[in-house]
Amino acid sequence: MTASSLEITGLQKSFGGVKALDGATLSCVGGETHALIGENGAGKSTLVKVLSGSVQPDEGEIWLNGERLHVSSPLEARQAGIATAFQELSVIPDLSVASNLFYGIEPKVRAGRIDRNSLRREAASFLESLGVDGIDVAANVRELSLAQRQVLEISKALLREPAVLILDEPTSALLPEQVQWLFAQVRDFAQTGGIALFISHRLEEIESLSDRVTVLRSGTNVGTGPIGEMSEARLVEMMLGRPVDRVFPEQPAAPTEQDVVCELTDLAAPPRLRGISMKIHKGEIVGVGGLQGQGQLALFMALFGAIRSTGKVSIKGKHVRLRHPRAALDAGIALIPEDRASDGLCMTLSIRENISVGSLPAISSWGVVNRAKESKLLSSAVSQLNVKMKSLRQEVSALSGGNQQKVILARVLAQKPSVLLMYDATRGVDVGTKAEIYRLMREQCEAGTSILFYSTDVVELVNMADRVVVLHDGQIRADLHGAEITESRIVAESVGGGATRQLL
Amino acid sequence: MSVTPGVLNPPPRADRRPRFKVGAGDLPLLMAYVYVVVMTGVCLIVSPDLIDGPGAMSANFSLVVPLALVCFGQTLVMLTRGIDLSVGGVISVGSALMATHLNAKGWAVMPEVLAILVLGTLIGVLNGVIIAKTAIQPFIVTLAMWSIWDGVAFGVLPVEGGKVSQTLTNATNGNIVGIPKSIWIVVVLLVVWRWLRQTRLLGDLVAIGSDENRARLLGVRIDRRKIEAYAACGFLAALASIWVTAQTQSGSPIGGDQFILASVAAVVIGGTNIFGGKGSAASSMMGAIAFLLIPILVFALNLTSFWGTFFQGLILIVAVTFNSLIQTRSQR
Repeated sequence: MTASSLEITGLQKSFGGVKALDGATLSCVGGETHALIGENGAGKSTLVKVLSGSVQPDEGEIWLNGERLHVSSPLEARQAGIATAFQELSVIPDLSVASNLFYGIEPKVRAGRIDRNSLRREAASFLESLGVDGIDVAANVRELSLAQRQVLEISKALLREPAVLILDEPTSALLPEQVQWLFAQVRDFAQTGGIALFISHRLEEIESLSDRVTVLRSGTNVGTGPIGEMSEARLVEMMLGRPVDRVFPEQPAAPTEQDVVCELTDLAAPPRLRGISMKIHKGEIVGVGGLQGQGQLALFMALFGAIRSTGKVSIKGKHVRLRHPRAALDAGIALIPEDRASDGLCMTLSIRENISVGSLPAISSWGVVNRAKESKLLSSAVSQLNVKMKSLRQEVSALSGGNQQKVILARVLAQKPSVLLMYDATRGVDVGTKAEIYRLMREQCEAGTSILFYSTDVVELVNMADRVVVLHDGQIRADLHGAEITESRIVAESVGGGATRQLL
Repeated sequence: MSVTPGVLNPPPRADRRPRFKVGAGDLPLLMAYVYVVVMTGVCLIVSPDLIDGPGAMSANFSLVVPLALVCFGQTLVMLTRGIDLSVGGVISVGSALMATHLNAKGWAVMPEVLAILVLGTLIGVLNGVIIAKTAIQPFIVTLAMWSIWDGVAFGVLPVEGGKVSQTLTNATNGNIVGIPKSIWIVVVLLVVWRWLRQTRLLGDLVAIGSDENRARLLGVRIDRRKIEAYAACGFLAALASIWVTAQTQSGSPIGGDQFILASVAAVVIGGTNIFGGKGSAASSMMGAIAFLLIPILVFALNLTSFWGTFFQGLILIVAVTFNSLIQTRSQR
């Protein structure tokens, strides 16, 4: 389907007194790819939810092709020609790939029956036409990897041949070649006259894909313009409302040889992790790279005592048995997990409880929490991180993603760990919060903490790590130091053997 | 780079297991069949008369029918991550009404049956509306409903007894083409399930139970579907009520209570996930048969009857443990 224009004016939306959208506007024309950027909490997600019908605005109008739209449900949005690839993904884990693709638009419904065989055939041929392979259309979505689910989510939106295609953080789990696939699909879509609205945190993606960009800040449009006229620094400045020098803190000169804080000897947890030996020095940031699913998660979980492992781990020369996360915490190992909602926070508890729960032994006597000690701990933790909140009693579920991540950081740092494990801790976090996290990492290192840092973002590894180990098939394939740490080298070591290394 | 002809070439992994036609996640749904086959086998060896003696099949299946009906409805509800405890109240009130009121007024059998079915469906609709429109847990809503309708049943028929239309009893007995009607009912339920699982309704129920937020993003009419599931469950419980009352030829104000835990147990033994999104009414009915085979087996083995309840509890624990082990394994 084609679209000539999409106009959004004066959009207002409040959640419990917090303004998510404050007179937001957006103007797109047919055939363009329009990027929407802004910090976490700037209102991008709310705008997407309003457009896709899952949230009703308090005020404001949406006009598609000169007609006023009232979308009061996701169904109506879809019928109006708006298809969304949601950030949180709308594919149902317990349904098959084919059922998910054709959900609600199943062909050939006879006597209420859906012909599953023809559904599978059509699903397979559609995926093939998009150039997607490696997905079994009869498999349940639960069996797919996160990247496959994201590709499916995008394909599903494309299948609906919408006038407006909304892509909310579509690349968060994708590998580089999958991102290229997505970009090709989006360009094709725009060429046929549709409007593609692209939301991303990665500025380099926005620069290479979109025609125009709109920046949101505090629920308001602070500027729209052709991408060619916006420099990266300018965009970041618009997002933050203040100029920033740089996102990454300056890297210190190569550190002098320090004491070994943590030593792993043949740490293994088959089948994912097959023997890792390495030393982590005091105040060092060790980056962990490699393709997804090469044992990084197992390494972190084993070090945190969350899965059973064999081998030897010593902290400051003392052998520790990591049979339980409690043992890891006692040994001074703390973890910032990937999924803050399910692994990191108790969403229904307050900020206060979420932070102090990590330090209860230190602030209680005879099993009773000493409130004075608790508030001292809290005030230092919160001010260090400047968490945006109404009060410490607020439920963490009401905070934006970036602020939730800060609450985890506050809890973990209050534990004063000697080894900090960060597992993709910046995923889905806005530039401003990222910069703060990076700054904190450096501060912690200067204070003597060592950090083991996994990231799917190679740029992050290059800029933050003093050393990068690349994992492949549960083993260390490369241990890169100093000048060896470059994007191309890390990617080359990730994807494989010598031949590839020569190509790059 | 010379890799990746396609978008999703999975990265090489050391531990790729061969793919089976039946995913490991589906195993729980097959276990009830195993339980039934094993127990029937033991019974046939130890005391064959209990299974294939004269009239045994018909007698056994007349016990299976009401539980199978309730399990069918319970499965639909549990697919949405709900539970319906009010089935006990529906059966009790239906039974009490049939044994007294309607019969005393000389209603003909057909309107009587229809009235009970309408009442059961309405109770289900009420459950569904409250659950869909408020944030109250299904457990609490249907617990209250159970109590309410058991109370009504007591008001209608304070003690067991009453008089049940002989026409109704006759209608549930006998054979069609040499096969007991009770078996036919189970067959019809299986056919209905085969059709239902290919409908959009069932897809919607699975989507809701699998992930309600995502289902909402998909445009599933969640409230409507939930009401439909509870209404169907109420309707099927009313059917069960009619069957039980006709077979026992007497009303009971607490006759439905035994079906509450039995139906939940049978559905779980059948492998349906209590957290929604995965389940099969056919497996639930197999679970019901397994559940009812236990007392027969206990009798066959000459044990005192308390072992029946004991083993029903044991098989429930075993089934749940097995299911959750499979679940964690297939999600890793």
